[in-house]
Amino acid sequence: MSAPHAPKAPRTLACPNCGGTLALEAAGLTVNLGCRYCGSLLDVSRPEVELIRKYNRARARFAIDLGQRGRLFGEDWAVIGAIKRKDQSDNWSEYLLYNPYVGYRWLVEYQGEWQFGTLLLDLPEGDDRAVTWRGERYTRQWSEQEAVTGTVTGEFYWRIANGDRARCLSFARGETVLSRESVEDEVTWTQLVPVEADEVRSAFAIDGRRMPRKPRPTPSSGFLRPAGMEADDLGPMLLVGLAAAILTLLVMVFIAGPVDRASSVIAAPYGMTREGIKVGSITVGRDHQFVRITARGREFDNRWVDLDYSLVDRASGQAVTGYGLVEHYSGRDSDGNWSEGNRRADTLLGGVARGTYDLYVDAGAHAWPVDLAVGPAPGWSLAEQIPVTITAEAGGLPWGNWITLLIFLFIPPGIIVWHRFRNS
Amino acid sequence: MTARLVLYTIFAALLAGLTLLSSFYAWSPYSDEDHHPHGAVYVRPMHK
Amino acid sequence: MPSITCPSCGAGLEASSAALPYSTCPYCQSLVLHSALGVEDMGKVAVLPFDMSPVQLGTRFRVEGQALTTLGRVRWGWSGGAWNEWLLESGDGAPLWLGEAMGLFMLTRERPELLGDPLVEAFARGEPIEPGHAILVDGTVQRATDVKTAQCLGSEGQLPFATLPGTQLVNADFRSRTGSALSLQKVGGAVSAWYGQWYELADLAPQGVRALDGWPLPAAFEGSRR
Repeated sequence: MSAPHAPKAPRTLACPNCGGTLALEAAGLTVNLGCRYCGSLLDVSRPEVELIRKYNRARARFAIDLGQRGRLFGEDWAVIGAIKRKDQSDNWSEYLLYNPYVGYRWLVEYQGEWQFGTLLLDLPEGDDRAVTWRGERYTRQWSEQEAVTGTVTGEFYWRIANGDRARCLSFARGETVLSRESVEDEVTWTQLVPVEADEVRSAFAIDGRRMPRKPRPTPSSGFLRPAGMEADDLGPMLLVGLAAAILTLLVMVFIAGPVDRASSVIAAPYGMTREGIKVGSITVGRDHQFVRITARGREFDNRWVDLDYSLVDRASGQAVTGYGLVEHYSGRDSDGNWSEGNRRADTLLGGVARGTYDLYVDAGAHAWPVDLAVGPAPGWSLAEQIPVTITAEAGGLPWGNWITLLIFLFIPPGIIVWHRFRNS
Repeated sequence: MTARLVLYTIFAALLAGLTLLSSFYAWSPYSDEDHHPHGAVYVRPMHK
Repeated sequence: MPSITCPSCGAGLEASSAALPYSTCPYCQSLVLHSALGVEDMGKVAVLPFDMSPVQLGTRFRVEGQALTTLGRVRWGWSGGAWNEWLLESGDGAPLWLGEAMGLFMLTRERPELLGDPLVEAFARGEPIEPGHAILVDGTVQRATDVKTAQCLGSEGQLPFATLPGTQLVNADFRSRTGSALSLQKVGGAVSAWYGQWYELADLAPQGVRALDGWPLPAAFEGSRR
């Protein structure tokens, strides 16, 4: 008669490939074991150890050694397994923690950040966009990824192999993440909560030099994550951009100051320049204002009009000058009728100081393709003058500045959209 | 709020600030004025 | 509590109920059948391999106000691993199975009325259950997730059926969206339906758990071992 079932110390076994001594911490639960020395995959679910796949790999490098014990969330854990996994853009490590009285937990490390994972027994409900779990709503983080298992070392309670694939989708609420993994029809949910790296390091006595570090933010891991992996903040980003543009425009209207306008029709003579035609007077009501001068010609063709503006300060006699050109050409070639040019010209004068100004213009009309120095040409008489309506306006908005702002604001979301489009 | 949304918000605020500053001083890269220095006084041409 | 004597080695064995006619002698591994007619040595049962289960014969649980006691265990092995099925008895004498896998525990009660379900009847006739097959239990759809054939790897304590080497179990696991689970078991032609859900050990308020070398009892269990 022998004493019934005296518990023995955790089993050890010898790797059938390399002969290395391997501890078996979770005897009775462990199904597969990846040899920590040679990487061979063993079936240890029966008393007789079976070699599933033979490898002669270098020893896997993980931050935490197998067999290491540590205390996290008020319980003692043994690190019994470690795997490396990757998807199309990232790779990370997962450690299997075990306590015979508590069960299994996960420790996930991605770029120096750690999460503690617990398998869920009460499953979240919802669709692919959001789920509800224990009365709280979790929203999807990024699109579904396929995670592939790489290096496998240590004990696992299921049949695991290098190359295993699982579809992963994660939902977040604050810092808590619910991760859904599907392998064929089987779905498992894991709750992941963040753990401070320092806590993990002291719990498992990790050598500081082996501790994974946070990478410096690079375009591919920070702002521009590959398609599908980025958090879905494109909507909020567009909203922020739009709000910034609209707010800026409102303040710009306020800054632009009082509007004053003067307008008259001048006659631009052909073949010569008429100088110093007075258009009118405007008042610049702030320390600095924009003055926009708009020239509009009417029905003319194959002509251009040079306009040299002088905005003269009545008090000092000093001038701010600018140039405008109204033009229109048309004709017929092998491609048919064509026309080009603009009978309207906007000239923006910036940094105009406070004061009352007279606007003078030097105007001269020219014909295309050549000026006719003398003699009448068809449809043209020397007496002809081209009427141009000139309007000066103080207090206008610099639309170009605003549109530049708009373009810059939409470059970042644009790049993200382009990136998604290119990768989808 | 993601880190990059925070970054983007800072970026948008900076851009808006720059735009407003240029608006305040009535400066624009698209304006084509020529400010004549002191002494260069506009002389009104004589009309015949 | 009625007690019997092992006909093979003479050791005293517990035999608490007529519903559990088979006892495994912990000293000589004899499977002893006891009935009103007496005791009978059925043969030798395989020695259970060492495992790290925190449950042992005599471990008590308290679930939804009900006290449960561990009376027996069967260990089943299949191509993908092995698991324990602990036989528990509630105060009213009803048997429950506590399946132990993945470090989790599935506590199920017998649901004999499910044997009338056409799918279960077909299973009893020997027709296979395929993953995806569904049964409605208490208004919840239970979908078959895996069906496996397992061999008995050993047993201890008191059990309702014989666990001699070669005993086969066909087990169909069903799961629902809500986490409840159904398991259809066929041992030697007899089908039974078990319905319940998954728990972590601490949720079962265990007392008298097994001492495991190198592992202190978690704070939640403090003072629970006797």
